[in-house]
Amino acid sequence: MLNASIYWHLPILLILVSLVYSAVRSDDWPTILRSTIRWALYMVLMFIAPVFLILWFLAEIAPRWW
Amino acid sequence: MADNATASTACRGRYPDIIAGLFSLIVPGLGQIWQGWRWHMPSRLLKGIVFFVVLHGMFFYGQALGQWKNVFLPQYQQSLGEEFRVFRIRLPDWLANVYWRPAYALQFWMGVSAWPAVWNYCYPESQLFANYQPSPGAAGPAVGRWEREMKIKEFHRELNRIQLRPDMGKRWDLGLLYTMLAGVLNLLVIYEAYAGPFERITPRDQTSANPTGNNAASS
Repeated sequence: MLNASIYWHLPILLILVSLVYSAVRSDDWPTILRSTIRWALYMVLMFIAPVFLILWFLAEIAPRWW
Repeated sequence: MADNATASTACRGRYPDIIAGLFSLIVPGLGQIWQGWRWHMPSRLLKGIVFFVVLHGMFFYGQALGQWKNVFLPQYQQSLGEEFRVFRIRLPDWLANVYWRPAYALQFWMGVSAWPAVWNYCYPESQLFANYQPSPGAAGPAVGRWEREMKIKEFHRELNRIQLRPDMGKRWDLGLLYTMLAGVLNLLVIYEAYAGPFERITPRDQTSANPTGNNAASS
């Protein structure tokens, strides 16, 4: 586990942070689990995916222009 | 939904719970475990166990990624030989050291797992946690400034060796991130133990869940 690629650590971190954040908002476990999935997807789609797209654009597309 | 409302109403009068907040400060999740056991709420007990496992898992895994060298409170300020001032206000040495090592300001909130660093800072000659979270530069009052500086340099040479190892990559930063996030998340857990779940059902929601209006909130 310690020698795994660092990129495997990030989704685990994302899920754990979502789980704790959702668990402090409710005592109802079905709500907590639904909220965990929602927050994880939200962070992926609204934060990680845009950052990935920007970095990919800067690394792959932008150098061809100049 | 109505069951949730009833359970939420039953809990409302029990917050704020200072003791549970203190328990979660000392051991993450312990406050919720205690509340779940005391109030016969299995969901809250389970939540406390999840907090305990997740936060300790993150913290110790982060330390393992950093070769058990990334949680410490140094004695840098004592080696500088000059006062540390912010807006002309002299900060005490411990606060100046937290300024020099801000990561510990977040790691501290992990409770007893992170407090050996404070012990090593306050009691540098104690052997209780000799190899766990050692404080660089920590030495007794009889030790001179030069010797303290040598201890700090030796510690940082060791950190550099670890970080420059070919198999280390970004694991050092990742380990630091895991330990700091565990501390920050425990702040939420402490407040949750003290004040209850952040989205407790409001009286208006209970009225909609129980249109007759005979809910326990009005009693």
